[in-house]
Amino acid sequence: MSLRMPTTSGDALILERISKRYATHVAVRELSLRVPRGSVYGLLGPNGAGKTTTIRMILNILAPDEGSIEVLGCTHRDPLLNDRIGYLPEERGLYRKMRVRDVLRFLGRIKGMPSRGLDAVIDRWLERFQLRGHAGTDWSRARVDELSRGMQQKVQFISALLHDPELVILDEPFSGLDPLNAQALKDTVQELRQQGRTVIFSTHVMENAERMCDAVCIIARGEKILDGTVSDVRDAHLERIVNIQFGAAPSTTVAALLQDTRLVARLNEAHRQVEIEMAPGGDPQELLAQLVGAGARIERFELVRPSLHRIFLEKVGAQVEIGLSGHG
Amino acid sequence: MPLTTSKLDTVVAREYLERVKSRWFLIATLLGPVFMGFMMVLPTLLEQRARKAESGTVRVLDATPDSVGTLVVSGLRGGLMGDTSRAELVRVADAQAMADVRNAATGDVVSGRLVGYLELDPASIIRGVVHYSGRNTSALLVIQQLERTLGRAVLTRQLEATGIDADRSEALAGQRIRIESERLSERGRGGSGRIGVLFALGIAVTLYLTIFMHGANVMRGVLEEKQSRVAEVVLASVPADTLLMGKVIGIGGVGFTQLLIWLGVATGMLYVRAPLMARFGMQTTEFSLPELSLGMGVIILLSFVLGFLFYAALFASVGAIVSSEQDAQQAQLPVVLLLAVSLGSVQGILTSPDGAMARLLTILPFSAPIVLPLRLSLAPVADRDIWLSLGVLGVSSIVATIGAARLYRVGALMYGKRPTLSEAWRWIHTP
Repeated sequence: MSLRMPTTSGDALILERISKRYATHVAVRELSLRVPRGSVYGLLGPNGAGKTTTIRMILNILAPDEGSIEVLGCTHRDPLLNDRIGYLPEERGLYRKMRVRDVLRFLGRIKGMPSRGLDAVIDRWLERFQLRGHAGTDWSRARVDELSRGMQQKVQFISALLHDPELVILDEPFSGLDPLNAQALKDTVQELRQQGRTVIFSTHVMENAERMCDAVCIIARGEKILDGTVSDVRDAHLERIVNIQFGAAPSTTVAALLQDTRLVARLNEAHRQVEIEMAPGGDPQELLAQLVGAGARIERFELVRPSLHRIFLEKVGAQVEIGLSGHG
Repeated sequence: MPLTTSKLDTVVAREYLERVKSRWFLIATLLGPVFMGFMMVLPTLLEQRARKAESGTVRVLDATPDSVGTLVVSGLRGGLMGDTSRAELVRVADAQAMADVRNAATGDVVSGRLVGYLELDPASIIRGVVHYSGRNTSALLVIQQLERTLGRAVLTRQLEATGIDADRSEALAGQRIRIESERLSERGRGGSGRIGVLFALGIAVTLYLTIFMHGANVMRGVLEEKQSRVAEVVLASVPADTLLMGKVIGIGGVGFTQLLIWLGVATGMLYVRAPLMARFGMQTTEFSLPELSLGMGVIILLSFVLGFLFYAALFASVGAIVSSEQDAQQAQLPVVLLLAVSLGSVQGILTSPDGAMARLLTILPFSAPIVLPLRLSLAPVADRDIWLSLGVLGVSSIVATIGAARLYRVGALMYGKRPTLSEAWRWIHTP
């Protein structure tokens, strides 16, 4: 693998054709993507798609077999780089027997934070997540295993953000979170975006991705299916779904038109409303012209912006979404 | 690289402080000296108990024509003017009479009037096997004293039979010689031989215990990080080899601290030993420890450090490939066996500190950390052997540590099934 020299690109992360093979399978195959600085980026895919492997390669925990990775303008092997990245892994855990403050001090120190002033930073974060100072509470002296699961999750977030990283990577951050912590995390991601930080998170929950991300990359079986900004991705699939509201029940000629497989791939009908998925190469304008020509009374003809969920299902296939267990 | 060094310091400090501050460290460190103190007092206590078991009367049933029994009784009493309650004599005329007095004596032993009885008849003495029945047959000292006294009595009678007069025969038979050994080396005379052996054994056992206990701690530390899933966060901040090195140094430091405390306590105990034991009404014999030169001390220290590194790396590898405590118990067996073999060879090395086996075990890296200090404190070891041993051990430690770090990097994030040997081998070769 060639080591790239630091560059000053506008991207926080550039993956160039990276691959990772294991004895029995290929986890990631020639994956390339770019994450713009200051964006919230979603790495989407079903379980076992290669998301966690990709993230571990970015963090230099695993080495790619091929390809190059540039993070924040440096090669990902730069030993100083890890201090600029915050990471919340999917498999979360802390030293259970240590006190909260000691764990955070340790995790802060190994991110290169100086010892002086560290306690004040820790206190600020603990207060922010209501682990300290809130109604006289102070959990900083408690041992990690004395904390509830929700509180442990908060400590884990703090550990990922404590050192004020330029790039934050969250692997399946919402899995196992209670609703309150999930909201706290969403708020934190929004704040990070406002501060100009780059956030990458992996998920298989498309609703979260759609609401939070500026750009996404969908991967399945280790390969990129598509990527781009959320609106670009949705626009690219704009012409695939059409909603039609008929003013009267369709005639047999119109009904026959709707069955034409050259134009229509799938059809859902409810009362006088029809949702159509266009056949590959089928043009909605042609469908509209033919329907009008056949005498159909049309009240509404709408090109639908498909949801990410829908695009995901279409691209990846419903059977994969149900999912294999294992790391993304 | 200053940064990685500071990360290493942080990891070392966490591993060290978390353990030293724990209750277990306190307990283990305190128990060591208690155990040492116990070992110091134990021999004297045992001896006292044995003396107690000796007290009580032994009856000698004597059917020998030349009355060997008279001499035995006098010997057991400690001479003509001795303690008459220690032994009594019953002369027996023939085999029939022996059966009767034996029954009577058995009754007396059961009722507690006697502690035991000794049957002497010409046939047994010629055969060289004499029968003793009693409550205290397990008391080795009692049996030893009986054997010694009886042997001396028989020899006295045999000398008399050759025509030597009775007093002279008794004096001849009573002649005893004790060997007092002293260690002699190029550094001159120093310490008694027996104390030297004890000292050497002490060093070997202490090194074994420290390497074993804290090596296994490294394994548990690695396993704990896997089980609590904290490994991934840490590996995203610290390279695997730095993390592993920090763990080994930190935990090794704990072992070293404990050794230092024990050494300090042991030295202190040597000074207070005599007054302390006098308080318990025990007598102590003066002894001097073998002299330990600075060079020898450094070599022992080096073999401890390198030996710990070597075994810590092996234990860490075990921790990296397993996912549960049960798995670890099984998988650590080969490592524990290697260590046990070194300790098991001690007997052979004591008998022949310069033999081929001793020399071989000095060079093999798995036994060197225990065998080299053991041999050094027993007898001078050729410089060539010392350097070869330390060299092989040093190289093996480095190789083992590199291998362990690679296994750790992959294994720390693998949960579930334990890898096969060939899979583990592939992990080591993962770039």
